[in-house]
Amino acid sequence: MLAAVKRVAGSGCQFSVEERMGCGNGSCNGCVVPVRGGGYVRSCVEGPVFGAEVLAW
Amino acid sequence: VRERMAGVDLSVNLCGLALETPLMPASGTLAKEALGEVEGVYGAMLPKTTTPRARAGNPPPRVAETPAGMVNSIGLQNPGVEGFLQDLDAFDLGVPLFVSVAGDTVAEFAALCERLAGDDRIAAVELNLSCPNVECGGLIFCATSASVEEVVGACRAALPNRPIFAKLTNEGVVENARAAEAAEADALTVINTLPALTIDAHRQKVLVRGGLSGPAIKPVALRAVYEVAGAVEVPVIGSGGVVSGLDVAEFMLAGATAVQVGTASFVRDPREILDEFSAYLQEAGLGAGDLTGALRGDHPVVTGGEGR
Repeated sequence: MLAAVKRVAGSGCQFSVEERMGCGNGSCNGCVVPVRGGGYVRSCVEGPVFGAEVLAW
Repeated sequence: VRERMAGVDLSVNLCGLALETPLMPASGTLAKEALGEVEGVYGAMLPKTTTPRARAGNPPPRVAETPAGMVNSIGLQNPGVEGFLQDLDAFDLGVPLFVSVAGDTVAEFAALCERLAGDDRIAAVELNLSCPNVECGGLIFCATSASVEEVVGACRAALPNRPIFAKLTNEGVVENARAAEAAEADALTVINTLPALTIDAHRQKVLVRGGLSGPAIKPVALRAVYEVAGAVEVPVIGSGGVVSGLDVAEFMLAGATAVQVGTASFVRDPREILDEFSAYLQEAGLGAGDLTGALRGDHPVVTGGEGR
């Protein structure tokens, strides 16, 4: 759904991402989101708010 | 913490290493961001598994909650051994530092051990033998005792002067423990997560296909520790569903010399687990080291035919 919002809103917006979390303190790597350039970052520590340009949606 | 535990001896000796407490994190469950919460709790430090090259890990969803546990499928996300070693000082809490490694092949395991042999910060190496062996059609290293013996032997040759722990899965654990001991592993970590699956019935999709952890697996892990400790001479590190201080005591009574805390640390403060364990020892008038294997002989170890 947020990906659809991003298409409508265009660049410059930010998203609060709430992936399913295991620990909430960066330990389990469970709540990752895909980022541009490849790989994943943790929504609990690196996020939960990301600039639209960061996320690989 | 230590003040509250005056008079209780929490220390244990694991492969010649003096640990202030028998607790350590289970690999993959403690990041550097959370270290402030565990200072003085763990007798050793054990970061996430590292691999020869960086791994992005598996696509989400990676975790799912289940009754009394969770299923995870992280895919060993890590920056690769060189990046891992650059960041390793963050895990220096003044206690012995253990490093968990995994490779796709026996040669990769051995190369990792050789790389770590040159790093004096590392007190011991844990081999994560629940990862797939690409030379055996993707079967995990623990799938056969021959492959356990081969990989442990290769790591032993590459790392002759530091303790090596073989982390084993539940299936075939006694045979694999004997194989690891024959290949001169110094200790055995028992057990890893159990193969598990969660399904989203509403979307009719597989949610997470991975490993089950948490208190749901504790009785399975306890039995594995009990039987392995009866079958080998080397120390056992118990792991699987430890949530309370009494759980720690149970694992040590079953034969563990040290105990790992994993999933529980996502739910409660590991400090409380140590405090409970300390209170148990105080009441029993025992030191942590007195517990290991104290049940031995009470019940003969049976390796088949029971359970009906």
